[in-house]
Amino acid sequence: MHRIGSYQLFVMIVMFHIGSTPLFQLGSQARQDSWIAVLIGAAGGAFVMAVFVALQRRKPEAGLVELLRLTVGRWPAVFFGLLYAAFFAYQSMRNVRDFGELTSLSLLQNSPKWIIMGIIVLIAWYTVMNGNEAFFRTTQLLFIIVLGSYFLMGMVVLAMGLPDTRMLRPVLEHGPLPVFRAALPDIFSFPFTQGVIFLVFWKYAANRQAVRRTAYWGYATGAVFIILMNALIVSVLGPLSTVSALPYLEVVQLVKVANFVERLDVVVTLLLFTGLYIKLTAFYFGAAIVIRELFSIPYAWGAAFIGVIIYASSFAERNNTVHLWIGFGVSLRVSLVMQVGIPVALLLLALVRIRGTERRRGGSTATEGKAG
Amino acid sequence: MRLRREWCHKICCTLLLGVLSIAATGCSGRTELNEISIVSASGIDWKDGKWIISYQLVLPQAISSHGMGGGAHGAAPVNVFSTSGDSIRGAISKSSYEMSRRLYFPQNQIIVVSERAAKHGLTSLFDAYLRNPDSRETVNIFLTKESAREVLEHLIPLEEIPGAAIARMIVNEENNGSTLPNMSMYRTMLELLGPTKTTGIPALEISGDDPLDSTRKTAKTYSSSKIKLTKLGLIQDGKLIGWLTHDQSYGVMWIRGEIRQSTVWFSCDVKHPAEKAVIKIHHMKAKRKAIKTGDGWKLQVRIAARGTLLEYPCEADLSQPQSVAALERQAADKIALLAQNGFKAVQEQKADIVGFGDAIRLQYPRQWSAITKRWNERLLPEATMETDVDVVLERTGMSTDSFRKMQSKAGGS
Repeated sequence: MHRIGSYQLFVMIVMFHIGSTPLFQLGSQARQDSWIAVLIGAAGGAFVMAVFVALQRRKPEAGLVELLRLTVGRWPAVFFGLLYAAFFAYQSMRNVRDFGELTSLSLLQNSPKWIIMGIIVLIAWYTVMNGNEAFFRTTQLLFIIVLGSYFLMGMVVLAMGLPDTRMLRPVLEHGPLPVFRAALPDIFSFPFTQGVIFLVFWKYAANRQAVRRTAYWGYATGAVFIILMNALIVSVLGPLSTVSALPYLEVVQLVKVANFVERLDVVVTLLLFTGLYIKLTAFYFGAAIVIRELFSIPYAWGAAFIGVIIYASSFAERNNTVHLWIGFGVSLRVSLVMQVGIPVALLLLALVRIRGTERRRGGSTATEGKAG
Repeated sequence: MRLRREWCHKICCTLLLGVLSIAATGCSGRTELNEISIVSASGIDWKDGKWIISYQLVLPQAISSHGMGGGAHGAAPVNVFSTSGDSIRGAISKSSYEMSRRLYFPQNQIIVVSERAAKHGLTSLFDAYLRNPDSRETVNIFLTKESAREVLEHLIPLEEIPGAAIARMIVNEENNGSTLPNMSMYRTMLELLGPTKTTGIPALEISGDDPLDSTRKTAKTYSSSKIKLTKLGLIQDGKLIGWLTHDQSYGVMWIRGEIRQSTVWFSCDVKHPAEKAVIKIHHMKAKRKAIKTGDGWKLQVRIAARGTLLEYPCEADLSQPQSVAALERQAADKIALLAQNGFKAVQEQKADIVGFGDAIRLQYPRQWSAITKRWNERLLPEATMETDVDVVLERTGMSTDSFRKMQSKAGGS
């Protein structure tokens, strides 16, 4: 597998966290204080990102599977590894389903969903087959386009005078409690602690020392962007932001510059597609790598197998309401365990069991990995 | 071996390009122009328990040939028909009984709602709009006293598509006269979901007896009837509850601070009260503050306006700052009077569209949540308003002394 540059890692972390987040209005129970709820969720997620980075620094050349092997032993590592592979595949499936639902809702109402989801799974499969160089380079290219588009949309919305800061007031109208309730655990698990996937990728980094810096900067950039987006949507839509299925799309539908620049929904939908693609490919890729490292089967077989599972299971949910209900219900609790609980436990075990290969100042660099 | 891989690669790329070009046309999501009929305006009516939806369809052939001849003869540019049903979207789907094409709503410019439908309740209309992806929330919404269909059938002289022309008319009114607000569907919904759950929608009316529903009638040099913007209808909780006249609505716009450009006339000389000076206001700002007075509430409005003089019949010397200051004071008094009249009308109708409830909510959030339900009915009628208007007369126009003064100086009357 090729090495990943620091800039590519940074871009990937930003794009991954932004992902499909503008698709939902996070923290909508807090009404006009949802941006504060997102801020709190991001702050909490920063601590969890610190846990991930600490795990990486413990043994920089170890990916998720090796870390599991070193901390809990071989057979429990297989169990937890399978759990993580299934979890990543599930997250990928969620994004595939989101992709299908988004397309059906906004652009192609009459196209059958199986074609839409099949196409995107094929694209993801092709990306995964070509390895991490292809994936990270693609994201690097898409980053410029996505950034430019969001900036343009923001400018146009501001130029039209659509945002009204009175919608954001009064701040903390019902006190801080609803804000905290909205932030934890919901916003905490999606999207701010999903960075657990990077434990799989960081071992391929070219500059392992720089991983910590890029991780924090990438996370901060992504978090700031999401908070600003959230505040923008609420300041334009006000109370309508809680009922709208696609709030960002709704905002852009209101744009009407100079009486001829209208109907910019396609730009927004493409941005959401890109974000969804990056997320689902990242999870798919992570699952494929985990499977390969666990069972040493040929990579192509593992990737194809995971792809078929993802595609088949994306039909399991009956309709969009069930999909969202599971996503904001059971799935969030499971994510909390997998994304926060297990990594924290792993870190505690790793502090005890793995002697770090690098010391801060001089000293011997004895590698005393105790496999339990 | 490598040669085979290269050929394989080339064939795959060609196939991919082929597949992509098929897919680029939208496959199953295609919309052919000759399968759709473009709706430029729609009307909502309510009769005997059924919704009656009217559509103003654009006839592309009639519009495209208009540029050539310049004459108004030939086919009318639009065609109107109606369907009825138990629900709004149900009525729309019945259009397939009469139409050879699918109705295409994304180009819909205005919706006209009749008074009867507005009194019945508009919540299902707003829900249908929010839920459907092809209805735009930037559509302008209007009320009308009589039948919505008649408004749609009425042609507008000098304009091709009446729906678009009416949309431009309200934009023109909001920018230049600022008596009535430009209510889009989205803005209406936001205000109905706001703290006071009340909003005001402008109304259209056909003045005159002989409506212009054919191109023969538009061929004359004058119009026997016109579509006019008249009153402001007050909607509360999705239902129409009352009307405001032009002057009252104008006062409300002053309190809301939504005047873009407008003219204010006032008498400049107490000896000749019929002679009015006219100021064009081109910039204004209104700040509303809610003050609790004992058990009731008071709204303190601070208005700052800047304008230029358009017409001046009195005889003061405009090169002296005192006279200009006197004019500014008189203008400020007139504006304060307009605002007070608007506020009184709003109190009588028990519909807070001036932003009073909003101001309370921003400053006293806890108390607002306690009085929300009683606000429109009980507390608003007891409230008072205090205005503090400051008008700055920036320029007196292209001349200084008034014509009358120059005449009297020249030895005339």
